[in-house]
Amino acid sequence: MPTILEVENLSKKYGDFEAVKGINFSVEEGEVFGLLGPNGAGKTQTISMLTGVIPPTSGTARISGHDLHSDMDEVKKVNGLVPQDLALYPTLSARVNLNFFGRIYGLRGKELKDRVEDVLRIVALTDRADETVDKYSGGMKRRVNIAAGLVHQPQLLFLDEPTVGVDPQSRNHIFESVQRLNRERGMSVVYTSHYMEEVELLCSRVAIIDEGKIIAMDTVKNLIGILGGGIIYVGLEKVDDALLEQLAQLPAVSEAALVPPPVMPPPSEGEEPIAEADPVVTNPVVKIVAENSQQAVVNVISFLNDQDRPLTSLEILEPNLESVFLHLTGKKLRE
Amino acid sequence: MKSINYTLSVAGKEIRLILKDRGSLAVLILLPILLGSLFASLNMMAAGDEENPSILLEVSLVNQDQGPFGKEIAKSLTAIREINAVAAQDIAAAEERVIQGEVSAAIIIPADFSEKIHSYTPTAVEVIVDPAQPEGASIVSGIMNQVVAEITVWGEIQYGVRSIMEEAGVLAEAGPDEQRAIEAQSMGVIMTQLNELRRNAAISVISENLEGAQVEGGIGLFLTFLFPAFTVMFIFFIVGVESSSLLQEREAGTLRRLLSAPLPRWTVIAGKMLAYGLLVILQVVILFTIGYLLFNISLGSSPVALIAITLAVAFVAVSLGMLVAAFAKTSKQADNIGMIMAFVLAGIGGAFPTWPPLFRSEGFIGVLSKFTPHAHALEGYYRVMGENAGITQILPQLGFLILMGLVFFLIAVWRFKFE
Repeated sequence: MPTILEVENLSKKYGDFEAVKGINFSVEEGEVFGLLGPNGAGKTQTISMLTGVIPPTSGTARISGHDLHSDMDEVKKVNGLVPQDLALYPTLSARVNLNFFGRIYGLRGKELKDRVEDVLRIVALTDRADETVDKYSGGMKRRVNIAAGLVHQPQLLFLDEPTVGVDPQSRNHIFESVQRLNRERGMSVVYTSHYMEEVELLCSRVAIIDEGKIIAMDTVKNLIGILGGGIIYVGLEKVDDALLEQLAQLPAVSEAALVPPPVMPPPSEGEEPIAEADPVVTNPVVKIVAENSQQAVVNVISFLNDQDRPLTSLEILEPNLESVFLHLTGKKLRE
Repeated sequence: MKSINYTLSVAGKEIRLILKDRGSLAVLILLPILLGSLFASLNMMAAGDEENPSILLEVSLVNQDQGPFGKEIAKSLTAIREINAVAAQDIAAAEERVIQGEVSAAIIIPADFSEKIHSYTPTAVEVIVDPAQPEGASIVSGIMNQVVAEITVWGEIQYGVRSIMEEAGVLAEAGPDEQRAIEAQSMGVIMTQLNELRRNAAISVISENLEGAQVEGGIGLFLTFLFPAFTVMFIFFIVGVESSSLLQEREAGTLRRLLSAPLPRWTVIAGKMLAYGLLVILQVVILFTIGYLLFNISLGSSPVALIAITLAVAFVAVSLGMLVAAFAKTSKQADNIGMIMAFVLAGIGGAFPTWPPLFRSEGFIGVLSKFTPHAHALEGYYRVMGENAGITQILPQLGFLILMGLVFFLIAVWRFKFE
C-alpha cells in the first residue's frame, strides 16, 4: 500500500516546553490509524501541525506526496479536519454551515450543492439540515462537525476526539460513518482518542503517545500481545526479591515485579521534612504479567496461601490497550 | 481572484451571523435611532419654547402723555410677548397693584414726555417695581431700557434734523405748521431709510468657516452636528462586537477549521472587516436618512465627500476592532474593552452632542480630542454637512482617518494570534 502520510521528527516547542518531541509515523492509503493517549499527550498539537493550523518547530511531513513546508496549499486541499471543538456557527443552519465550509475550499455552484447533500446523507441529517445548529442535540452537532470536514472530499481525514460528550447512539453513528467512509470511499483516517475502546474498534494500527512522544506503535493485536494474557496486581504486607523470583517461576506467569512506590515531593520551604524514608516498603504491590490471567490468578493465590502471605489487594486487568498504556507508562489513560 | 472570493465568502458568512445577532443589531442600529431622535426632538422642543416664552409678566401702564412718543411706548409694550401691559386709571391705582403683588411693576409715562423729547429736554419713564419680585422687576427694567432706546434714537434724529435745518436757515422763513411739515417729511424719509436698513442691513455679520463657506446658525445647525455625533459614537460600538466575534471564533474552534483550509489568513481578517464595514455604512445610511427626513438635517452639497468620509470612518472603526481583538485575551474581555473604548473615545473626541463641539474647542481637551478618530470623523462630517465642504476641503480628515486605520490594521495583523 502506498503511504499517504509520512511524519519525520516532527516537534513543537513553546519556550522551554516541548509539546511534541520529534515523532515519526506513517499512514498507508485506506488505513484508519489511531493516535491514543491521555489529554495533554500532544495528539491535538500533532494534528494541528499536520493540517497547517500551527507551524512545526522542526521536522516535516509529506501528505499525498506534498511537503508540509513547501506545498501547504496542496496539503490543505488533501486534508480534512474534524476538530475536537464543535467548530460550527450555532446560529446558522447545518446547510449554511456546510455551504460556507465548502466555499472556503473553492467549491461553487452545483458541485458545492451536490457535495453538501452528499455529506448530509453520510451523517444522516438531510431532513433537519435547515434547522439552526443550536437546536441540535450534542450528537447531531458532532455529526455536522464531521460533515464539515468531509464536504471537500479530503483524501486524509483527521478526526480529533470526535466523540467527546456524545451519547452512545450518536457515538455508534459516528463509528459507522468512519467505517463506511473508509470501506466504501477508501478514505484514510487519522483518529485521535483517549478512549481505547474506540481505537481498538476502528483502527488497524495505533501509535500510543504520551508526553509528546510515541511510546509504542503497532497493530492493535500486537500491542495487546505485549501483555500476553493480562496483568495481575497483587498487594502484600511484605515483599522481597526471593518472593518475586518465586512468583515469576509459577505456571502461566511470565513476569513479576514490584510496582515502584509513589515518589514523595520534596518539602516546601518552611515545611517540616518527612522522617527519613523507611527502607521497608509498606503495603507493596506486585505486578504480574500473565500468559493466561485466569490460570495465573489461581496459581498465585494458591502459592501465597502456601507461603502464608496474606493478600491486601488483588486487581486483574484484561489484556487491552488501556492495560498496555498502564503497563508502558504506569498511568491510566483517563487520569 | 481566489483571495477575493475567499474574502467575500468569509464576509457573506459574517453578515449572516450579524443578521442573526439581534442584540448587537439593537445596540448598533436601534439605540442610535432612538437616542438620536429623542435628542433631536428635545432640542427642537427647547428651540420652540424660545419662540413661545414661558415667562409672562403682568405690568400696569399709566400713560399720561398725549403725544406720539407715549403712544409709541405703549404700542411697543403690547408687542412684547413677555409682558402683558394693562392700563391703569392713575399712578395711585398702579402703585396699589404693585403693592398688592398683582403686577410685577408699574410703568408711568409722564404727561410731558413727547413735548420734552420734541424740545430735546431730558425726561424719564418711571418704572415702579415690587421688591418682593426682584427677577420680574429686573426683566421689566431691561425691557423698558430697550423700548426707550428706540424712542431716544427717534428723539436724537429729530433733534439732529432740526439743528441742521435751523443752521441751514431752512426753517427761518416758515410758519409753525410749515416747520412741522418740513420736519415730519425729513423724519419720515430718515425713519423709512432706517427701517429699510433694519430689514436689509447694509452691514451684516456673516459667520463663515475657514474655507469661506457660510455657516448657518440655530437648531438646524445643531441637529446637523447632533446626527453625525450620535452616528460616530455608535459606529465605534462595532469595535466590541467585531473583536469579540473574531475571538469567539478562536474560542469555538471555527478559526482553527478556517486555518486548516487553503485560504490565506489575511482573508479571514479582511472578510470580517468587510462585513462590519458594511454594517457601519448601513448605520450611517439609516441614521442620516432619519435625520434628513424627520429632522431636516443638511447632508451638505457633496455626496462624494459624504461617501468618502463615511468610508474612512468605517475603515478606522473596523481596524480598531481588529486591534482590540489582537490584544484582548477573551471574547468577553474584547467586548468590554470595545464598550469602554466607544464611550471614552466618544467623550474625548467630541461625539457627545455638546455645543459648541468639543473637537473645535481650544486648550488641552481640544488638543486631546485630535488624537481620537472621532474628532476627525466629526470634523469631516461637520464640514461636509454643516458647512457644505467638498472632498478637497476634508482631505486632512480623510488622510488622518485612513492613516490611523492602516496603523491599527497592520498592528492587528502583526499581533493577532490565530491559535
